[in-house]
Parts: sequence; C-alpha cells; structure tokens
Amino acid sequence: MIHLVTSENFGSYASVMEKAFRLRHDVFVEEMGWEALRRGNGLEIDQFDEGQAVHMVYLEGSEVLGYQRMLPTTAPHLLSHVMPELCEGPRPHGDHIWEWTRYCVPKEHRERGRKLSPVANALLSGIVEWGLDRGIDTVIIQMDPLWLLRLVQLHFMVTPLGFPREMSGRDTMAVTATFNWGTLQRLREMRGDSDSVLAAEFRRTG
Amino acid sequence: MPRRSLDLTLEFLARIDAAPDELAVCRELLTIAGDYGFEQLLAGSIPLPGVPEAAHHGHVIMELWPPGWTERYFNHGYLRDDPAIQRVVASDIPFQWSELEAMYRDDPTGRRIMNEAADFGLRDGFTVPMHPIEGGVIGFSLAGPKLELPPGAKPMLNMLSNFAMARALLIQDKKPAPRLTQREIDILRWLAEGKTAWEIGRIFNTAENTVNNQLRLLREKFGATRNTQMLALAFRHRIIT
Repeated sequence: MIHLVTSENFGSYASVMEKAFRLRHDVFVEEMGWEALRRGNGLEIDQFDEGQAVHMVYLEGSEVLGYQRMLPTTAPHLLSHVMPELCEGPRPHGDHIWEWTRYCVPKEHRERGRKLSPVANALLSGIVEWGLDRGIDTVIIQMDPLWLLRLVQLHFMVTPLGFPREMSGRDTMAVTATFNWGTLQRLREMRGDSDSVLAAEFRRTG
Repeated sequence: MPRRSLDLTLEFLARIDAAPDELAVCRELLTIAGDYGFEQLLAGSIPLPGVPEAAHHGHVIMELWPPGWTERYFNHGYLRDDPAIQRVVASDIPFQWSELEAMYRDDPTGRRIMNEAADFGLRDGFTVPMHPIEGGVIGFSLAGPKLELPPGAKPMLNMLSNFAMARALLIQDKKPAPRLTQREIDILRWLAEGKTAWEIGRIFNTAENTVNNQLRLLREKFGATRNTQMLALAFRHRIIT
C-alpha cells in the first residue's frame, strides 16, 4: 500500500522516511551516479523535502518497495529552480499541476522481462488516485524519453516542454502528463484488480 | 534550440494524432527526419529466443523500408546476427549505426549484413530501443544513404520516435480483432511457421489455389495488403503466439 507522508505526519513515519532517503541515495547516487547528491550518511535529502512535499512510499510491512515525491508547482521545484533549461516555453504551474520527482524502486522489485512491474504500476496508480481525489490532473516529469512510450500507452496525455538534452550519458527531457479516470482504469486493467493502491487513511473518496 | 522548433514538434504530435494508419505516422516522422538525411524507417518487436525465423517478419510494426532488403533480410534470417538488433537487446541507449563498427569488425556475418544494408541505401542509421508496457523490446530504426546529425538532433529524434511508436501501437490496439474460423487460425499458424500456400495445401489436403483464396480473404479480414503485415496483426491480437 502507498502511504502519503507530509510535514503533518512526518513524525510518525521517521523510520520509514529514513529508509526512503536511503533508497534514494542507493538509486540516484550509487547506481545512477548523480554525485552532486552524495552524502556521507547515505541519505539523499534536498531542499525540497520539507515544506509542501508529498512523499509517496510504497510499504509492504516495514519494507520500502518504492518511493516518489510530489512537489507543488506553486512553490520552488526542480523545473523552476534546478533544471529550468529543460522548459523552453512558458513554465506550467498552478494548483492542479504538481511535479513528480525521485521515482525509485529497489533493484529486486523492478521489471522482470521489462514488463511494467507491479510496483511501478502501483506508484503510477498512486499519483492518479491521489490527484483525482484532489483536483490535480497534471504532473511535470523530468525523464528519459524512454518513458514517453509507456506513459502514452497508459493513456496519459504527454506534451513535451522542451527538447531532450544529454545529461550524464542519458537523454533527459521535461514533459507534462495529464491524466483522468481513463488513465486509472487502464492502470487497473494492466494490474488485474480495481482496488485502491493508497492506504485507507489517505483515500478521500470511495 | 529555438522556440519555433518546439512548435514544430507540437504540430508533429497533432498530425500523428490525426494519422489514420501506421504508414501515415512513418511518413510524418520521415518528413522531419528527412532534414538529417533519413529516408527509411523500420520498427518492430524483437522476437523472443525460440521464435522461428519464418515468424520474424511478422514482428514488424512500422515499415517504410526498401522492400528488396526486407525480403532478403528475413528470408536469410539475418535478424539474430544483425549487430543493431544485438545492441538493442543489450542496452536501452539509442545509437548511431556507425558507432557499432567496433562490434562487428571481427564478425564476418555482422559485417556482411551491414554492408548489404548499405547496398540498399541504408548506409547509416539511428536506432532507438523501446520498452512497451506489455514487455519485450522494440527496435526503432531510421536510416539513409548519408546522415548529417548536428548536436541535439539525436535526442530530438529519440523523442519523436517514441511518440511515433506510441501512436502506431494505439492505432493497432484500436483495430478490432477479426473473427476467424478454426481453419483460418490454423492457416495463420502454418504461415507463421514459414509454410508456403502449396505446403499448407498439402497439410490440409486442398489445392494451392484454395489456400491462396483463403489467404486473400484473411488479408481482407485484417485489412492487410501483405501476408507479413497480416501476421504482425495476428501476433498483436494474440491470435497466434
């Protein structure tokens, strides 16, 4: 189940969040080589983690199987303050647009045979369920163009904000991905069940 | 890159959204890629190990490729020895064919395939590995006799190719699977195994002409002009596996 951690309930998720920050360090620093994020304590934490960030943690028992972070576009976020060069036109922002960052899954829970893994599906479903509950219908993503195909196949409406640029050996681009009930339906079809992926206490509607 | 180019990209996306079929999507992409010397396009899923060579051509999803080369390539079962295919399976980073020279320098079969491709006007190319949600790997290749790729061109083509494939797969998904008789499904299976109409006729104890008529009706049901295109659709609808 996916748990939503914000500044309000951070205290009761302290040990979970430590695991999540460690997973981020394992994936983004050790595996992908983003050296600027390296920290001596093995926890990857940046200036956006406090404030209005919504941390989505996929928990099974006490194990963190996946993580992603949502940032409001009405406050500083990566596209506005870290990688503005990826957006060549006017920068989309508003209450209904959030930025999706730091998506990561431990190696042993990733795609086998490169099919969309159950954890990846749950994390994507988590964004859509959370968004539809709160009047949010668009996420900004900085990503490898490799994800374009999958997002479109999952019925996200994807619009590029600029051209991909090569960053440490991989192409990276910014897009907006807009979703609706059809997107959620498609994700549930792929997963083979229609249950909510959000833990009960974080659901607002049926 | 100037803002004007992003507008061109958005126009391209609007045009492929309105494209009636995969071929129209190919043409839209080649209109843009043509500026860099690309003239041909071939994209398909990589057959899993164990899939017979005769069924390889059926894995093609988008095709605007020299027909003579396609025929030779699949008739000779070149796919498994093709350096570009080997690279698509090994890594998900897009590549230019000229980068692969070191890979096939000491491999006579790989070298022969690349040289023969060049004889058909495919002297250099750019290939993007893709990962659809259903699993498997797609190789998406643009090629031409002489490429001129300024900085930024490859990342842009990578992006546009992914959008083009996404559109082609949505077009295919929307086509309803045709209703087939058991006999028709059996014919498709044998066709995928590489049997000719004459051989299929022997299997079912009917004349070659009868089988050819059945194949023509089958192509009509699929809305396909060629058997290979029909097999690709049959695979996608999981009528044959």
